Amino acid sequence: MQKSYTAYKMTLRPVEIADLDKLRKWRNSDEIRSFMLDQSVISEQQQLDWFSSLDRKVDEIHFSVDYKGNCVGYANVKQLRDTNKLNTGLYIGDTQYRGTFLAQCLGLALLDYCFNVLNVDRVFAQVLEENNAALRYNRLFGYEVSHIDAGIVYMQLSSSNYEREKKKIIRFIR
Amino acid sequence: MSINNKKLVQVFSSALNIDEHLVNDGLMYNSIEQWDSTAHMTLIAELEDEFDVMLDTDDIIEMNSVGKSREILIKYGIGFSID
Repeated sequence: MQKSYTAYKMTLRPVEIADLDKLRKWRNSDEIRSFMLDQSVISEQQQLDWFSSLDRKVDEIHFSVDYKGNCVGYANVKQLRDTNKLNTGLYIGDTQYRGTFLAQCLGLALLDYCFNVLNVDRVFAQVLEENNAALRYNRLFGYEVSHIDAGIVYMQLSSSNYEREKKKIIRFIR
Repeated sequence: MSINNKKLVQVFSSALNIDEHLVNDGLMYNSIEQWDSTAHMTLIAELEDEFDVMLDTDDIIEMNSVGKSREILIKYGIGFSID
């Protein structure tokens, strides 16, 4: 059973049915959907089907993200098919916190989870080439570009790079 | 403009590497290319140095504009009234 993980003021917890409406609206908003690799609009039924399948997924972990007890976003870790590579993804849905330092707190929590709980030594991310904000954000944590293909930037982050860059951010976590 | 208001403008100008005339209360984090995640941490460090405060993480999270920065600094006892 998936457990919650709390770090850097963030709680990554299992998605609950009470979160679905809010997550779907955020996910389908132009501001978030336009920067996703899959930009389709998710219907309520599609989301319910997805939610029902979560317990059976062995290669994906999906989180609702809480700050001060309120759901503010979503994060996931997915194992890339036929590989042992882990992909990370997140968004902050609550507009009050979009474009704030909360993004760094969430990034730290998710990456600590990957490196310290899942015990991987490298994580991966895929970002649309035009999403400069996400590219800069990932670089903050030490992600490096592996290659670019068909408008998608493939990035990777080693645990050593992360530990080095993390120090610059955690000085502001008090 | 009060001394602390001038300091605030100067810190934003320096940390974000923008002209002082661009620093106004409505200027928001991530609204200009210069105020990105990296610059934000530089900004926090310079605000803390200039005003001799140590900001709580929740306040750093709330700090998403020049105007909000002033509000938060007032909480830490920094006055911005006209001298």
